[in-house]
Amino acid sequence: MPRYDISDFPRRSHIDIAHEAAITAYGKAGTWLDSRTRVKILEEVRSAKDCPLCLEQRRSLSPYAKEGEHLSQTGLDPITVEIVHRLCNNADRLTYRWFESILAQGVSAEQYVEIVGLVATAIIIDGFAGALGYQTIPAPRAQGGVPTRKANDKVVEAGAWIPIMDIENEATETGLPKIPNIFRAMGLVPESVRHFFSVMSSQYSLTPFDTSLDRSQVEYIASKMSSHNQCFY
Amino acid sequence: MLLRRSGEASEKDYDLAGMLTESPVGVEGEAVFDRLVQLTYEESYDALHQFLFESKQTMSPEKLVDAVAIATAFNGITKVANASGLPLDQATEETTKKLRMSSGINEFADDLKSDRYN
Repeated sequence: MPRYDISDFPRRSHIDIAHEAAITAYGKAGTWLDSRTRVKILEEVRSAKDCPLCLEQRRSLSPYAKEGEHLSQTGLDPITVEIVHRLCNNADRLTYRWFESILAQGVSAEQYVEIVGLVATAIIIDGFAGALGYQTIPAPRAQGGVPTRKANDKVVEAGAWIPIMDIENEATETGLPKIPNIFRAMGLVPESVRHFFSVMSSQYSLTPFDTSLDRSQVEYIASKMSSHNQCFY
Repeated sequence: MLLRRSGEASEKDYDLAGMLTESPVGVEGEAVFDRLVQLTYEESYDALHQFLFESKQTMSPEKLVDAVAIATAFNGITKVANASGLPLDQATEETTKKLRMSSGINEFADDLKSDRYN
C-alpha cells in the first residue's frame, strides 16, 4: 500500500485499452525496426532515468560538453541508446547539429523517426502509470517478423530536420491549420504516426473529448508542460 | 497556443506572459496544475502521489486524473516536436506572432538552441 493512497482515483478505460494495445505493438516488427529492437527501445526508455552520464549532461550548461558512455543493459547499439537517452533526459536541448551527427553515424531518417515515435509513446504510457501509481505494463515478448521497409514518398521538406507528411492543409475558422505540423512530423513513417497518436489522442484532442477539465485548463496544462520541455512548437 | 483561443472563445482575458513565469495567468486551478505538471515532468512520483492525495481537498480526483492525462501526453508529444526541429505552421506563426513574443516562447526556437548549446 503506498503511503498516499490514490488507488481510488477513477480510471478511464479507453486510456487503459489504448496503452495496452500500444505496448503490445512494441513486440511486432515495425516499418524499419525489427521486433527485438523495438522491445529493447521500450526497455531502454524504462532504464534511461538512472543513467549517470545523462544526469551529468542535464546539469551542464551545454549537454554536449559532457561525453562518455550511457548506462545501458539492453544490448542496443550505442547510437540508438544515444537517441533514446537524449530524448528521455535532455530533449529540451536537442540541436540540429546533434541530429546531423546521428544521421552521419548511419541511422536513416526513417529509422530515427521510428525510434522517436517509440520513445515518445513510451514516455506517455509509463509517465501516466507512474504519475497515478499504476503498475507499468510489462514489455511484450518480441514476436519476430520482418520490418516492411515501406518508404513513404508522400512527404515534403517544410523546414523541419526531417521531411514531414505532405498533405493539403486547410485553415479552420480559428485561423489555425486543420492538421497541425505536429501530426505531420513523423510522416516519413506512417505507422509511427498511427502508433503514437493511438495513445496521444486517448488523452488529448483539439476537438471536444472526454475530460472533466474545461478547454482553458486543458490548454494551460499543455502549455506548462511544453514550457518545461522548452518546446518552441 | 490554444489557451489564447480558449480565452477568446470564453471571453476571458488570460495573462499569457505568466506561462513562463510565476505570475498568475487566470485559469481556474492553475496553482494545482503548476505543481502537478512540474512533478510529472520531473518524474517525482512519490511527491506527486502525496500532492494528488492532498489536492483531493480542493479538486476532484476525476479532474486530477484528467490533468495527469494531459500533462503526460504533452510530455511525450513535445519530444516529437523537439526531436524533429518542427517549424510552426504558417498560419499559426502569423496568428500567434505577438503572443509568442510576449510569452517568451521564442526563446525556445531551434536556431537559438543550436547557438546556445553547441
